[in-house]
Amino acid sequence: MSKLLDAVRRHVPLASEDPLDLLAAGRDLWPRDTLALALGQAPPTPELVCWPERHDQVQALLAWATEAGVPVVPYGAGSGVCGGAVGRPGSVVVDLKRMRHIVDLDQDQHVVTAEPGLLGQHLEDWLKDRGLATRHSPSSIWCSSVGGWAAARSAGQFSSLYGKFEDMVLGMRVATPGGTRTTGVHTPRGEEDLGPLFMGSEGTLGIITSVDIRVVPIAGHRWLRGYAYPNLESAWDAMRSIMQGELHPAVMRLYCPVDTQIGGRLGNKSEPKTPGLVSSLLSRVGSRMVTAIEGLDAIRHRELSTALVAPRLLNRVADGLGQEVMLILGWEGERPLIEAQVQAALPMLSQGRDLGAEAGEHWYDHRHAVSYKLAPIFERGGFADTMEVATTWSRLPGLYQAVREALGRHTVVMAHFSHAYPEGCSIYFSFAGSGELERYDATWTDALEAARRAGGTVTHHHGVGQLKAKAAARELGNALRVYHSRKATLDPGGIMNPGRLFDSPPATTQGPPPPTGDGPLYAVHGRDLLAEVDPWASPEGIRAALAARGLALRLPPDRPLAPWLTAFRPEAFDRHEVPFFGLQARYADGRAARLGVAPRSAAGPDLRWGLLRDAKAEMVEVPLIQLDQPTASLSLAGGQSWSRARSLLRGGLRPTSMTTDHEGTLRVVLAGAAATAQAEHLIQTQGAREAEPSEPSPRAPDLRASARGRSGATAHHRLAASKKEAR
Amino acid sequence: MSASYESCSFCPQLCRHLCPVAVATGHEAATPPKMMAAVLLAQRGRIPPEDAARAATLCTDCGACERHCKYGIEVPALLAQARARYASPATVQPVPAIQGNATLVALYCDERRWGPALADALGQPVATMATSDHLGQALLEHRDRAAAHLASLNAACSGHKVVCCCSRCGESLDAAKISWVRLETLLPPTWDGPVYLCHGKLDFPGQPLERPPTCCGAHGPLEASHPALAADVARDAAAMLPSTSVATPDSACRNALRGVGADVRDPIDLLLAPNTPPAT
Repeated sequence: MSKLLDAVRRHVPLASEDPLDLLAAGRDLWPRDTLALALGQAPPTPELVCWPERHDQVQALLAWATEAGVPVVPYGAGSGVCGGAVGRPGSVVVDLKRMRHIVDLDQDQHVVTAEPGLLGQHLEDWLKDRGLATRHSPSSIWCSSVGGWAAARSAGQFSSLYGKFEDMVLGMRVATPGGTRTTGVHTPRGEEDLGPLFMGSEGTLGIITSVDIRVVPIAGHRWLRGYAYPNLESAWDAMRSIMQGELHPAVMRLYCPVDTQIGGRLGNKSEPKTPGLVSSLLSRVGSRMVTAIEGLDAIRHRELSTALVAPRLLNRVADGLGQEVMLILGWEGERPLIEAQVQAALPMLSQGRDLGAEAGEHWYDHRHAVSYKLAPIFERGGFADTMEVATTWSRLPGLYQAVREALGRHTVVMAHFSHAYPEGCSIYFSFAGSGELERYDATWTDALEAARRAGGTVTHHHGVGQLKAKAAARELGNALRVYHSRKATLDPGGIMNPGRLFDSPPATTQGPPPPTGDGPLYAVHGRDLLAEVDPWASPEGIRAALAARGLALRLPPDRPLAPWLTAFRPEAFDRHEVPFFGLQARYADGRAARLGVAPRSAAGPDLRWGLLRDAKAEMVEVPLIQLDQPTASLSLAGGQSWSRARSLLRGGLRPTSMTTDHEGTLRVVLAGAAATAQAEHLIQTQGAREAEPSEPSPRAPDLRASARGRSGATAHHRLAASKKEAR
Repeated sequence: MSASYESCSFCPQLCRHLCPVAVATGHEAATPPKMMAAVLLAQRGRIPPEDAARAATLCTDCGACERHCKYGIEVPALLAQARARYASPATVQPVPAIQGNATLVALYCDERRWGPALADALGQPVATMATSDHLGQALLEHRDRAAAHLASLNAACSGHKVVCCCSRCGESLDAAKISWVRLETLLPPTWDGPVYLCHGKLDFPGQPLERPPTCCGAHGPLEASHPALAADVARDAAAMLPSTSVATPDSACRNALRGVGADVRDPIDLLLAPNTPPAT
């Protein structure tokens, strides 16, 4: 037994130096490593792998490793695609898959507590037996773990309704070299909530040992359909209208023309738009080549190899296949609420051609199948990879073109658009090239730079790892001081997953200049329903300035935004209540940082909350709503208002506010295209009555967070208490 | 065939959630794609053959990966081929002698000596045969090496009908082309409780579990090569069993599950003490 093994076993009894275990921990699903394997290279391996079974074992190991100066790499199910968690020479890999238990389920409050090594599918299976679900459904759900979901800020296929995984997490327990930390609703009073920092930290700050996850009842009804649109632009308009109309679809996926053609689900085979015999022939060949990427049968022919060495040609050919695109759209929840949402959405879909339920159900039934298509490409001597970027609606076309062009210089490329939000959308590029590491690296270098230049985040939900470390650091700029200042406390020895994410402090720059203009509005992006606002302006002033443009803040504060946000507890809210996106702030030394080039970035941890603490806010970018949208105000008397609020929320209702008066009457405000129909449903089934419309009172405690669960209630009460203290 | 090892090695582990060994042990090396990748690297001379052999023994032959795979890659069979190529043949015990003079032979592969009870129940004499390694079942993957052993086994059992309820012994008997019969078909047991059918869809009284564990860990090469990991698999399976006594038609399953404290009976238990709770 080596000295290292002996030392580790004092803290974690199950440990191994077997070359097999080391080999397995030397590779995750980063396609670059898969390509290296295909080229006959065995991965570099760590020194040792251990399997802790309890939090205290992890904590003890990290204390020892810090003392001994041994690098530690947390390893979940190894489904990361950026090389974020693989053992390298000199390191000890902490394999968390023996910590795979469900610690607790609060059936009443709908919160499940799970250990990090639990595979996603196992969690969903377990919850399904109890009529519940997280509805976090990444395509990797069979091969990814709960801890990995948190550590890399995962997103699932139903994110448009349920949010990204970070939106579902109410709290975590984390072992760090600096001691155990609890986050979210478990944050010790008076301490900074480090939840946003651990989420997306990819094992560089500590090891997540348990996660509290908000769960929902399994939806009683599902509505799924496909729509064909003449081009991307018309489909983007439909997606944006639906999201900004507060219609909350669970599924919204738009396939680019190439991806649409491959799917072959439009019901008609589009004729090539490029005229001429040569082009026509190229189109046919191209179509077969693209099909070759799709299916193993075709790969048995030699078309793939031919295609991948001439990507520019094939991409041009693909452009000639037609512009028609397919949108998959779906809602789930209680039938009457869904019907109201669908009816409200139909006018927004008028430019599309209804492909029927079959297209939607086909997607649903095959939603994990895409992952099977990767291996055959490596098998045939190529590589396949994916890149997920995101930006606001107004920048989306530019980002799509720029990244597609960059990827297309080296690879055959297609894309789909999913994870849509009121303010923007992500783009998921799939690409395949001939199997040389140099080509792989060049492809990524060009694509990441293109994304940055086009104003997109370099990653939406795959994380950073080794692949995107430099690009993500450039995106975050001076805000990385927030990360490094916490890292110095949490991991003073720098042992946690070195060489990944943000390994060293970036060169500090002066940062952006202060915003110009009189305020309180520095800029309004109406298409994205976002405004850049003076964080120290009075709420009344902001409201008046926005009202003049027919807009209002989505979440009205009760004091200037900067102090209001400082008191905010993000875990108490879900993604529909994100209080701000962009942030510019200035440190005491005069340097400034700006965050938020794109919504819902996964470029490392969410540094906004820490930046608010560390520097003085100069600008915050906040979400807006349109004042001219339909609204309905209802009152529900009788019964416990809190209990009724919870029932409505669990049924799928998404009100803009829920308050109660001194007599216990529940007041619900609905907004959006389906507000009238949903109000009618509540009047008929819940005995609701129409109430006088009024401005939502920021000082009236909103029940939405507390009614979703006990943990939310805890956070809500803390927020209320902090507001009281502030007053 | 190499293409199939490649297909698995490059796959994003889409079957790992169904592999009882990978799930129960937490060992990354035990996922089907990582096992196959080790074989691939050995084929390419990048890792020693003995590493590939050890990787290929992390399998219970349950077949869950193959059933789930969109391409139907025959992972267990491919791993068996790898073992035949890279693993040293197991050392097996000489073929045991039959004790007694009767056509029927009760085959013992654990501590229970149930021949007399069978004789009483049938009202006819029963000979016995005792094996400590399931009649050399570990040798079967090395077909050329196993030939002599199987010939000896066939000769020893010639003119007899072996009675057995262990799938591992059954594999050896089948390979040796020996006529044998399952105990429960010869003497149908009375059982109306839950039944765990691992590795088989046999007729057995009782109620099959609605969602049985994928595997108890007793099958394939895992138990012999990695006994501690096999016990992990058994513990996982036992945790999925109901708290009441469960029956299984397979003694290999019964022994694995009893070994981790589960209350499991097999046809032998039911023959020996039909109305008595099993010892714990």
